[in-house]
Amino acid sequence: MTGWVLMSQFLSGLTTAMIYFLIAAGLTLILGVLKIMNFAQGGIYMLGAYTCYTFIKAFGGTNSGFWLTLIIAPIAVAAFFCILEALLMRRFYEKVALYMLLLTYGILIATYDMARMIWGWIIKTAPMPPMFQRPVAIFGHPFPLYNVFLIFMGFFMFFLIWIVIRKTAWGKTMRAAADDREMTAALGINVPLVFTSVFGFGAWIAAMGGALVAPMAGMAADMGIDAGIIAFIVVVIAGLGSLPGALLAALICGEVQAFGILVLPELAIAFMYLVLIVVLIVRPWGLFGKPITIK
Amino acid sequence: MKSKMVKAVLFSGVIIVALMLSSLSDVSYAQAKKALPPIKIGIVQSLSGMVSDYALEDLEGFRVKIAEVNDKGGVMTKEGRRKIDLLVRDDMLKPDVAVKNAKELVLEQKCDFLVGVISSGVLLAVSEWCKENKVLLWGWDARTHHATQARGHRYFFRSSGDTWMNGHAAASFWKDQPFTKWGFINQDYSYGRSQFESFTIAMKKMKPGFTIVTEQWPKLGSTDFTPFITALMAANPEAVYTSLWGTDAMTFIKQAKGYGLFEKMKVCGLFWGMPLLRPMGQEMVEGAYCMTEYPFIYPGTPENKAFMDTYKNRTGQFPSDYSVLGYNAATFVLAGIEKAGTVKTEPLIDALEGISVKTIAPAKTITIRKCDHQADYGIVIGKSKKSPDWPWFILEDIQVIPGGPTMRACDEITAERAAAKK
Repeated sequence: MTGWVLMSQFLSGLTTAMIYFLIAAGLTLILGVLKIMNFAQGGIYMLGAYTCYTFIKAFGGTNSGFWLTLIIAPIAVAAFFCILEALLMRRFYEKVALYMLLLTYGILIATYDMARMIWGWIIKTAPMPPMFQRPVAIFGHPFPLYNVFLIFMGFFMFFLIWIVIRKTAWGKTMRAAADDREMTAALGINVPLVFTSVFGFGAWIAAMGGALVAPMAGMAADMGIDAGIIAFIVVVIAGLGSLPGALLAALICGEVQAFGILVLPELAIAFMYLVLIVVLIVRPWGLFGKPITIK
Repeated sequence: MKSKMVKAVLFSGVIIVALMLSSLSDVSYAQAKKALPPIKIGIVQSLSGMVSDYALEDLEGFRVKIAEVNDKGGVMTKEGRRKIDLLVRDDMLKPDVAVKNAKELVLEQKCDFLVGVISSGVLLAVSEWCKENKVLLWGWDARTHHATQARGHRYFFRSSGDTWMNGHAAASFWKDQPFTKWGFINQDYSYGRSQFESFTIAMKKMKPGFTIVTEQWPKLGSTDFTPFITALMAANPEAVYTSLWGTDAMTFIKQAKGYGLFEKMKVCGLFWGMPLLRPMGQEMVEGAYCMTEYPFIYPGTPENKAFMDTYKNRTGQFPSDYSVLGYNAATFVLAGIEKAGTVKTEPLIDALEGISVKTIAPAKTITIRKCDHQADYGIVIGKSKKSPDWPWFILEDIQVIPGGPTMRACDEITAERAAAKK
């Protein structure tokens, strides 16, 4: 195993980890603040990818078109889900948790059919923007420039979300509403509006993930289902609601798989689940989660 | 009380109108009774998910042929011409759903026989059910060779090639090339495993010095292939054999390009034909060895041109290898019905064994072998190349590999089936 082999495997694991993180980050936010298991998260990711595809093509596959797409596409998808949240989901916060689960699952299935209706059956891929079509040399070996961009964006998104939650007034309001809904409402804050904005933010993160993945992968309407499962595994390993946990969990999953397949390629399909099993046995509340105490 | 009466009157009024309307259709049915009831073919196919567009093309190709025959009044049987109705069900790539579909189509809808399946995993499940229930299943696409070898039986026929043939066809080309160190990347499920098995068994027989330097097994529908690509390259193969298809093939190619993989080693992609080249468009890479059953502009025969035009008029798209599979499947079942004069299972099966039909696709005729009910479908290999005439890449240096020699010997299959029964 030469140094480059290990380095390139580490970097490719990092790429995978960033994708996992982007899918999971929105879910963990929604889970932490709104306390709902959003089964539709994978569907939002998928719609983000498809919307990115449409915009990139509409802008003629240019570099500037790509940047514009990254600004517009996730916001468009998030806006759609904000409306969905206000119309449908708002009614279920106060009800039995099972109803909300069923609703988000129903939304997931609906997004799948929506994608097929709007974009058709045929598999697609978004054209890679011209500026990323050349590799960059890392220690003399070619490494795709887009992967570098993706890794950077993963960390950038982490810090962005962290700052929003911890340092802005909006973030404070989010955390207050999450901790104590009644008290926050009693203080005159429009809690339903806060919840919608949180859901929208979570959706924006997922859609951004989808948009970033679109030029480097093929897309089919069922990609959301696989992504949703990944999101759940990462969030459970992380500890429900923990953002740094989600990053760490994603990194662990990405690197375990990347190095695992060097040694045991036959088990490729299993690595992520093995990490999950180990965590559930050793620390079932997740890496950064808190053990449930009986009050 | 008054509203109750109104409701009662309205209700009975609706019943009376309904009865009148149904008796009207009784009248027209009595007149139409002279026509024979249509033949019902049940189709089980994976219409959802990443295999959708291939699956739909199988179906469209089949429909085009059935429409041709229905336009003439139907297929000729002993009783006269009978039209054909197709009842289509989506198995969602799930074996249990497929078996449920099969039961519904045969037991409730009274279909005369079943056609279909694109997923190998699904095929084995449905084939088992058809064997137990003595229902004819015509396989048009799902390729695991186990379905006509160890797990084959009287009630299953396949008009497409299978994974055994694909691997041996590829080996018959690659044995003449100077590469012995091979890397593999395939989806970790029944199809991927069968293709890997088949090519490696064939190469071990045909190529001295053949070594597997690495095998990578990404999950079906993986979002990210990067670690698999770097692991593949780390092992330094001279050539890579892959049966990746659909979005996985697209993702692999797009990501591998960035690593310069295609410059470092030869890549042979099984079934990297139109269904991949078309959606890839200009994102495709040049110089990949693509194996496909229907390389678009080849062969340039009048029959192919006629088929292309009919298909394009009906669906708005150019046909792909999958459309041809569907078309050929329909050609076979229709020829069998005409030969047997009936759709009754046992005589139809007897008629289909050994039948030959003229086809679109590299070979002019295809035959169903009696011992395993497998068609001797050929394949071509060519190198991908940008084209000034089309928005997608085409293939150059095309070589046809006939199906017959790539099939497994009958006595080996019989022996394997006997061993499986023990």
